Amino acid sequence: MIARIVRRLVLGALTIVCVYSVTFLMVITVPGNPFRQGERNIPPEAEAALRIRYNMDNNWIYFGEFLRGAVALDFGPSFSYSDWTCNQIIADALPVSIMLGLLAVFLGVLVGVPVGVMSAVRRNGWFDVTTLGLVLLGISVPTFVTGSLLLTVGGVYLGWFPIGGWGTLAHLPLPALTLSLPLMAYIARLTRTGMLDVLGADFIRTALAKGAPPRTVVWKHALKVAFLPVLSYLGPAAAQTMTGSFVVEKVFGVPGLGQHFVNAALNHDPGLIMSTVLVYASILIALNIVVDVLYGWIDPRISGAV
Amino acid sequence: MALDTGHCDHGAPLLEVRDLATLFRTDEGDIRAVDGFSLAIERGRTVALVGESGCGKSATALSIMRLIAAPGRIIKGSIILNDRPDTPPVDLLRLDDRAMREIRGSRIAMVFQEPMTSLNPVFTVGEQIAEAFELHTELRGRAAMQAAIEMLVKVEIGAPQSRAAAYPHEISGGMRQRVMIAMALACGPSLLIADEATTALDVTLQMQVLDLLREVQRESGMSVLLITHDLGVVARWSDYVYVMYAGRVVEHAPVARLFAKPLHPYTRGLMACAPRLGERADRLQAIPGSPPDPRHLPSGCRFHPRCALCVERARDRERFTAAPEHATAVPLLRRCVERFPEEASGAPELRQCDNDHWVACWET
Repeated sequence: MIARIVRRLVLGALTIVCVYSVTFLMVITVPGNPFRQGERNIPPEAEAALRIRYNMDNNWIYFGEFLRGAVALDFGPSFSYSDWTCNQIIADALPVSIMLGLLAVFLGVLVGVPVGVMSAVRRNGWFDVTTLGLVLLGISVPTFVTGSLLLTVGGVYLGWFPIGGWGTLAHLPLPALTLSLPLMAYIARLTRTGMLDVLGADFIRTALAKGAPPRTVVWKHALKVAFLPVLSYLGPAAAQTMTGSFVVEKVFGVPGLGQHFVNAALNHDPGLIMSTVLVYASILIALNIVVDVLYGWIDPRISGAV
Repeated sequence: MALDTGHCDHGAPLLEVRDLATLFRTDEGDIRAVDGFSLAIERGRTVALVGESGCGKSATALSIMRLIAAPGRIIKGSIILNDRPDTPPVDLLRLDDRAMREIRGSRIAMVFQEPMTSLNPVFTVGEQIAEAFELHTELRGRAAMQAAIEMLVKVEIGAPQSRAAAYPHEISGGMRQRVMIAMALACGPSLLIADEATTALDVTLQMQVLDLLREVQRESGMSVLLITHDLGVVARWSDYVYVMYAGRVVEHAPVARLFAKPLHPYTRGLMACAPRLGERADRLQAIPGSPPDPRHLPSGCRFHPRCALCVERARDRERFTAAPEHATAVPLLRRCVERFPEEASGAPELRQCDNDHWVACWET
């Protein structure tokens, strides 16, 4: 088990280097100039001096220096947010996104799994049919629609939650719910499919023949097996949710990390682009390793493999 | 038994199934998997239920356990369990779900055919056996696990301590079936239903598992309903045999009697199929055709399209030309093929033809 985790970590580090290389290549080839954005129009001599100052006069040196900084968790300055380092920006925004994301994933599992189980148990009943419709909505309606809707109802009509901003607990529920709706839908669907597969299995009949009540059979014997596809989905889904969503942050005025992915690219801010991408990649890889370990723990059949 | 004033009539069978019918509703029509099935199992005896695949054997077993899943439904009959001297006989089909659950796994237990898939892959075998104790006895947690380990000893699994912590994929097929048996026997059932319990095992393992079951039966005095299509197993172990075809019993008799003098053409066909040691057979016999589509059962006797007797006599054209008005004069063969509207069932009923030997055929 330990050896497997170490191997995954080494592989993960290699993956991150690849991600970094591709991102770097895109940053230097995309047309645009970090030193000449909008109002900023500095003299060519100053630009040349800055390029030397930040190792940007030579791409090979820049590649190496940024990587060396990144390994030491120092991503250097942001060029679009003057006086801010990329570290400060991420340290400000990432906890916000992680908090929202965790809450959203938690809600998604809390609602999605039981709904999926009950749909599968009452297959083709009214609950299942209704749920299928809602799942379709949850997956297909974009977050700017659900977010605005929730904001209108919960913030404007009912007045239970602040319209936007960040800082108090009351600011959490609406954006978290918005983020969690598609998660709930996917998780409900995955759970339902998994349960339908498992409920027909011979070992379910064995459990019933033993005299176990249907509740135990469904929630213990069946769900432990049926949860596995949900778990595999949760790794990447949580990584994505926990690194913020540009749309949800815009709708609710949340100072999360999602906006920086977009703004960094729009502003040609190379340090911020690469640092946000690296943060996302690291979280994704870390969560996948966590999922892998949990997977082996739930399903002993695969703990020897990979 | 002077004190035994009570409910348990020792003459009455331990389990009596009467006129059981189980129906599966499908889009392509109803499937009468079990249709007017009756059977009795005496205390301590082994009753075999034989027939080809798809004749309703497993549906019968699952009906007795009341584990028929939708779209299946038991539509009529009664299943009387009379296993305890201190409790009155109960009709399983009249019990509520909770009462039925208390019987399942404790008074009636079942061993299934597929040892590979019948155990939950994500729980250890110890946990799965211990669960039976937790469901039906006062034992919990560590005590239940200890009892589970004792069951593993009883089914002759080596190193029971470490085996209990193993997952099903870590042990062999034969061992898994022993685990299934340990689970079934955990609460000392009065009746064990063994549904093709040895079919998936290789011959040596089959013998070991059978010997084990017989040993346990001798110790505990439980009854066994042995469901199989292996006549060798039937001859070796059972006391009494029911032969099933298309959801109905076509013949039943004590095992020696049945093997000595099979009466129903289907039973004879089955026996002809089994190769016999010391007898030279260049070609194995087989019953022609296959069991009927349960959605479209043949009229008259359900076996007649495959019946050697019927085919043979059908050559005699004159029998067919007789007019139906002269019912008594009509040659019997005609009844095999057609359904008479005035008869309750188109199929022949069981009739006694010798002491405890019953057959459902008009022609023998």
